[in-house]
Amino acid sequence: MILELQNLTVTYGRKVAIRDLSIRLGEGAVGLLGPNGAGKSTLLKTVLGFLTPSAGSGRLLDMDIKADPLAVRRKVGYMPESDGHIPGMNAVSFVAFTGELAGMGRVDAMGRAHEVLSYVGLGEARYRPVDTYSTGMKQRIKLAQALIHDPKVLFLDEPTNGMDPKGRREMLDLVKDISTRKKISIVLCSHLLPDVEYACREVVVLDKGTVVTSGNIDEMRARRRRVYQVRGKGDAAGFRKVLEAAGCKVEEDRDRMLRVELGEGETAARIFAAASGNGFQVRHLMQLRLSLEEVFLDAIGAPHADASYQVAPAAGGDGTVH
Amino acid sequence: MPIYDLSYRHWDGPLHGGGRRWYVIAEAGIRLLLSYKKFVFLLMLSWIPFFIQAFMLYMILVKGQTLGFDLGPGFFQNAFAVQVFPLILVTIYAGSGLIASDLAANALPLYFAKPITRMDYVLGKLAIIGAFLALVFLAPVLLLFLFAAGVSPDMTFIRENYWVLGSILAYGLFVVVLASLFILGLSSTSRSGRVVGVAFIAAVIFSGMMGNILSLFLRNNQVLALSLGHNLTRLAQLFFLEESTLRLHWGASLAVALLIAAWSVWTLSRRIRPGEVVA
Repeated sequence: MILELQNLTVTYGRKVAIRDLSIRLGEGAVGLLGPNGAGKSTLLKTVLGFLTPSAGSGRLLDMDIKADPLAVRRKVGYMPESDGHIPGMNAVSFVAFTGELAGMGRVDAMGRAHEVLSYVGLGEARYRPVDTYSTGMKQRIKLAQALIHDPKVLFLDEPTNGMDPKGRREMLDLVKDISTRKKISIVLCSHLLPDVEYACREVVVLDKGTVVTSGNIDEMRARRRRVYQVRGKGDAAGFRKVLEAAGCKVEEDRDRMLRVELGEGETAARIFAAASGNGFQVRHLMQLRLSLEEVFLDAIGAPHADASYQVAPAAGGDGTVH
Repeated sequence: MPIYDLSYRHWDGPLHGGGRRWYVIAEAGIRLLLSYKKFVFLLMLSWIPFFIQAFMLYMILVKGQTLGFDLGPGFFQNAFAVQVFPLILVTIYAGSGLIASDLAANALPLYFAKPITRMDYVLGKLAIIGAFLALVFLAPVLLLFLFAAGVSPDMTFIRENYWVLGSILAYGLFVVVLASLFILGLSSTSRSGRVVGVAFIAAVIFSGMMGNILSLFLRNNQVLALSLGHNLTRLAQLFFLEESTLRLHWGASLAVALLIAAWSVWTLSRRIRPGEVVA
């Protein structure tokens, strides 16, 4: 367990930013999802000791976040959301300086700065003043300074903000590599669902300062609704009527494919039963998977503007049954 | 294997404790400022009065010439007065952007993401500006005294003026700490070093003008306490046990100085916060 918070409440004056929040985050990459103002950044800042909770308690790597924030920060690397740098320094001096702030000796910090700058893809630009960096480079250097003292946990607050698609993919690859191969646990705070989906296995969805849902992303998708794409030959109207009578939701798309959303506890056998009873010949059956966006919108109770589905890779095949 | 796998290794070296963190900030800031040639040139110019006054001391003590003044506490008090102009220039150049530029560059979350406290941060910044102000304000006068003691042909100078060394140290440090705190306090109120510089000059010039005008208008010298310059002069007279030429009570001047220091500390404590308020 890397982080455990119990009944945490954080307020800005009269406004409650986090309300009675309790979570337990395990090792690996965990996404912290939520709309703007959900309390994601506030949560990170509270764990780091930037903000004092008005109630509740928390432990990071078994250290009390209220009693010993400096010990917590020794073990955590933090990449803030906003662009930031120390004015007047070039990249390698800046990263080395943050290493010294973390307690490293100057020579060690300088050596390590070269290493992490190469790791994040800034090896060629390490002697350039940070003020002249592009937005994408500034994101990378923020990651480098967060890694300089080899933290046990990384807090990444919107790490792909302002990056082009290629840079974004590279950043997410780095995040994935750090959490899987370098064994550094990551809390990825983002409002970009694809980022979390790509880099994390677990997710915590926040809204209005409380946890609305959490768990393994794949399991969350699976435990929601089971949706199938069906095409066949025969009495489609009758087939559809039977399914709807059984409590399934059926829609037809522009390609005349049926999208069948099964009820709670139902399996694909329901579709075959309905087809056989109506002389409908099923020629294509493919399980669709809810995107994380659907899960997220469900969790925060927002309407689905356009349900987006993905092909689910089924065990032992591509999820398609012919 | 991606190329980045070759360059990341876990770190298992030692991490030092908290006593060193303010020093890291101070050292980096001093190195950064010394990398600006203009600033180094300004520091060198600040020492020109020292060489002129050292030459005068040499003429008096070694050559026995009288240059129209006594060699006593007043000489060193005057040496401080001469260094006020370099003090102002260095305060503006080195101090106005110390916190303002960190605010402009959103650097505070980066500092405080590491295991440092607000006190470490402020102490580090205070040490940067304090070191340079001590270099251009306190050090020249201190060296003048030591020079005088060194070239003096007999013990007369030391016997009569030994206590002045304490006055030099006390007054020099008092002004250095006060000016450092004031510029840091101002620097934390803006994201622009230029605005801070202008505010500092305005505080020095306009407070002097206001003090002079009101004292003439009201025929009351106590209102000179509104003037930063007059207060420093009055306190210098106090530290060097000189008679006041201003008819301004030293208590009023000291109170103003302490008020400025208190405002600076209060402002710093309010403005230096790692987590910006988002709601």
